[in-house]
Amino acid sequence: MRSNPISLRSRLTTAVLATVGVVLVVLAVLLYLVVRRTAWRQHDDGLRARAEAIAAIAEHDDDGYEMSLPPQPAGQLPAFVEVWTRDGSVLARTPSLGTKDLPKLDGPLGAELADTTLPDGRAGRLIALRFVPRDDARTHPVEPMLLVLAEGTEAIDDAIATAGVWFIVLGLGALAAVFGVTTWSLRRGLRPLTELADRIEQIDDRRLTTRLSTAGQPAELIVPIRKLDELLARLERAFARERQFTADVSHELRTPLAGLRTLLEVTALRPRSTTEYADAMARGLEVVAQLGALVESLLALARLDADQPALETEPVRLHDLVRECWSPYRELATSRTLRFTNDVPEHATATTDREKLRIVVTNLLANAAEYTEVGGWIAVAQLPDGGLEVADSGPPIPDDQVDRVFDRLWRGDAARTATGVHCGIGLALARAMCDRLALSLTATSTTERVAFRIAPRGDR
Amino acid sequence: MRVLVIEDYALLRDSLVSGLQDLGYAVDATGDGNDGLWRSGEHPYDVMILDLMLPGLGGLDVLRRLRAAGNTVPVLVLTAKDSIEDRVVGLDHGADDYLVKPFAFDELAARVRALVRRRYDRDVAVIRVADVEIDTRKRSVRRGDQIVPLSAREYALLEYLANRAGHVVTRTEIWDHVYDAADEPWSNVLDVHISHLRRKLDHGRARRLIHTRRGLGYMFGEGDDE
Repeated sequence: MRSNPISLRSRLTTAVLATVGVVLVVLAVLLYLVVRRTAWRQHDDGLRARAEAIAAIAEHDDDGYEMSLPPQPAGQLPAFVEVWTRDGSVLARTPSLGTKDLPKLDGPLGAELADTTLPDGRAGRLIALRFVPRDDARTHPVEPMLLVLAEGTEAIDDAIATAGVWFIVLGLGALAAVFGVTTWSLRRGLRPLTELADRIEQIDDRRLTTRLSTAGQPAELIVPIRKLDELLARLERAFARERQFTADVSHELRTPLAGLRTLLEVTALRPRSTTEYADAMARGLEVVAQLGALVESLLALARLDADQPALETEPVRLHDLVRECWSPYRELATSRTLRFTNDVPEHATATTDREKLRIVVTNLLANAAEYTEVGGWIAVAQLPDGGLEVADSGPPIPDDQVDRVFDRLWRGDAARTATGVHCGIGLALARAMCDRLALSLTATSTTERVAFRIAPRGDR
Repeated sequence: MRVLVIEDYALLRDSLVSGLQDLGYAVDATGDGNDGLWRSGEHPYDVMILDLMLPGLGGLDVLRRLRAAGNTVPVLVLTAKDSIEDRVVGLDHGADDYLVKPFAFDELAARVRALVRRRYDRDVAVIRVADVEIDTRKRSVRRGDQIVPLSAREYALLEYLANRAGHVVTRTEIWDHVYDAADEPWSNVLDVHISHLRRKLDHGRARRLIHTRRGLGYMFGEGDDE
């Protein structure tokens, strides 16, 4: 089962929409509250003004208090007014009250506002106003009166509700617009990323020459693209190296195989003497041994590449190790009239993995025994830093080739005479082993001597 | 027919020499490109077998210099690389044929025979001169309805003469094409082989095919002695 990963785009879209949504809701609520508050304040001001206007109608003259309320304009929802004198008797009331009374809010001089339910059942707001009526007679002390005006609040309720609806509609619209713009701009902004993904998807091991150019790419992608390109280049080189290695291996195997096959086929061309057969078999076995050694080296190298075998360190007597490693080549060296000296002090020891160091020294000595010019010399010595040096009298390795001797399957064709099957796996193996042993293996070549130095690596 | 083998892997070189000698070729061999190039200038070889991976002067350089010097010897290239580019590059440098290692010796022998045929403008493996029939594949010789048994060297001598049938062939030419560097050029081995060949091929026949041109050499085919 494959789970669908969340895309960067939907994640960003969600984040933007959530933020914008919250901000919009908060803003809308605040605005709504402000609008409602303002609307109510204006409404209350209006209510007060109307109550004061009605209060102005009341007067006091010689006949006492007098008040006649103006008739209610037709076609309007009714308002309710009731006026009391100081002694509590009703001075005036609107007919709309019927038999009911308005709440008789009592208090000091001034106005008091409250929500109420109108006598006809509608929601309303009332104002209780204590006032002193106009006194035309100026003969009696005038007593304050109480006026209560109650009106329906349908208009303002409707207006506030409408404003609320508008806030919701506009908010949703704004949110939709933000969603559209965000989606579009994110798609546009992230296009380099999706294009890059498409281009990367097309890369496989046959198309490692592809490079993702940084030209015209946004700043954030420059570094990843450059790193990817570097990675691709490294991969391409590694693949090329592997292909070359495989080709070289098959090449190295083909030549001895061709020799073996031709030897056997030619021997079988006609009946031969026992001596001839014995000779052919001996030569054939030589090839088999060479092929075996080649395969062993390749396997050792491949194993070293694949998993790092554990080190088993112990004190190793270097002089004895060199002597043991040399013994298989003594015969070859004698036949090529090479002088060999083991100048490593008898007591010299090193704490290392004996078998791995043996592989290193054996390969260096094999290389020397095979390549040193006839009549030359080979000498092994201990270096002041405790390392070993395997030197021979040459021929020298050309300057441009010195570093390449450790390449797998390097053949110094130009300078060194191939003696039958030679395969440059030995030095590559020696260096890989040295790496494993935390040793360095370097080659130097002058006209007089070619030297391979095994030394403790500085970085450990 | 004389063949030059340039191959640095001693075992393969020795085996090729031995096998080709068994087939009646005169064979010279070297493991060095420069030496091979020098030898090809010294002797008119009928076929050169050339390894591409040589120490010193590489096979392709040998080929290039050979052709630059105007040498038209047919070259069979041996290569351990089997990619198309590697083969094309050999042919482009003037090789006539190539074999990828490891190869069957029979195939190599067949390709060498084909190069020899081309060298002498033949297009079939059987040479017919008068009533003599030489099958270069089986290396068998018949005259009329009789099989003529020949030694390897006698056969090689006859094949060379037959390839040049109708032309006078000098002793030097015979030396160059039938004998290799191991033979002693001033010995009478050539006269001995000629006389053996005459005895086996012409003895008791009304019409003789091997003619001596005194002071010049020999001629194979219908014609008169001087």
